[in-house]
Amino acid sequence: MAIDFKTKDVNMKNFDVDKENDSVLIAVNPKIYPLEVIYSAAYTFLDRAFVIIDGDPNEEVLVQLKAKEASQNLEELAQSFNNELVSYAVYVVQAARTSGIRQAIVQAALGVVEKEEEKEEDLDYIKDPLGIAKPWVPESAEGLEIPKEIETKEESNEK
Amino acid sequence: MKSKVEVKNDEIVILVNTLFYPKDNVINTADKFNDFFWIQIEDGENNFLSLTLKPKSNEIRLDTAGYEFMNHLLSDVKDDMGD
Repeated sequence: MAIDFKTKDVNMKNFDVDKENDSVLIAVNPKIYPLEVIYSAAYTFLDRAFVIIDGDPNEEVLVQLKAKEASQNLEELAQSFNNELVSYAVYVVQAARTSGIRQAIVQAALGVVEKEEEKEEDLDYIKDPLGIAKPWVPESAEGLEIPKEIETKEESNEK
Repeated sequence: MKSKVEVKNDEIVILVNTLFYPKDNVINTADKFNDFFWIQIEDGENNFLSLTLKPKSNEIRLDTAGYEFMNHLLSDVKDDMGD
């Protein structure tokens, strides 16, 4: 059923501008926007305004935004707060929807790491199958000439 | 709106609603302001905490410092919530 907005008497404004105090008071319904969303939206305003949250977390949350600069448009500030509420509400819903996928991706990534760790654990460091513990000696270098200094030392030792 | 930030006799008086700003966060934020203010925290009516901030120097702007405190407090609460 379509709503006839011309005849329906609905006060859509959820904020009051207090020009004297250079602030705007916004009423938020916590049944529509959970506290987490309200905090997040308020957090984004910290650089533009002084923020105070009050009211009843079950009935009505009041957010006061006090402009940091006198030139700020208070009505616009309140409207952009409302938009921020919508953005964060969408973000929270999407995050909840995709949480399973994200968890699966992390588990898959951890699974690969665990398998690689298991492979590494199979190797016995005492047996040294890769020959890492064996010290390098010039004789083991194939195709390289032995430096003269080493050769002469060896010769003198033989004598 | 019961919460308030006001300047009285060269001191800042702040009423904080603990339903939105837990006591631990209030104390944590007060600790950050310790270098600049003498701070007193008391139990207020219902769920409110009353804070009195007395500046240690004359160079501090009292008209905005109380609101700055509230912004830091919100930031602290949000940090505890995570993403």
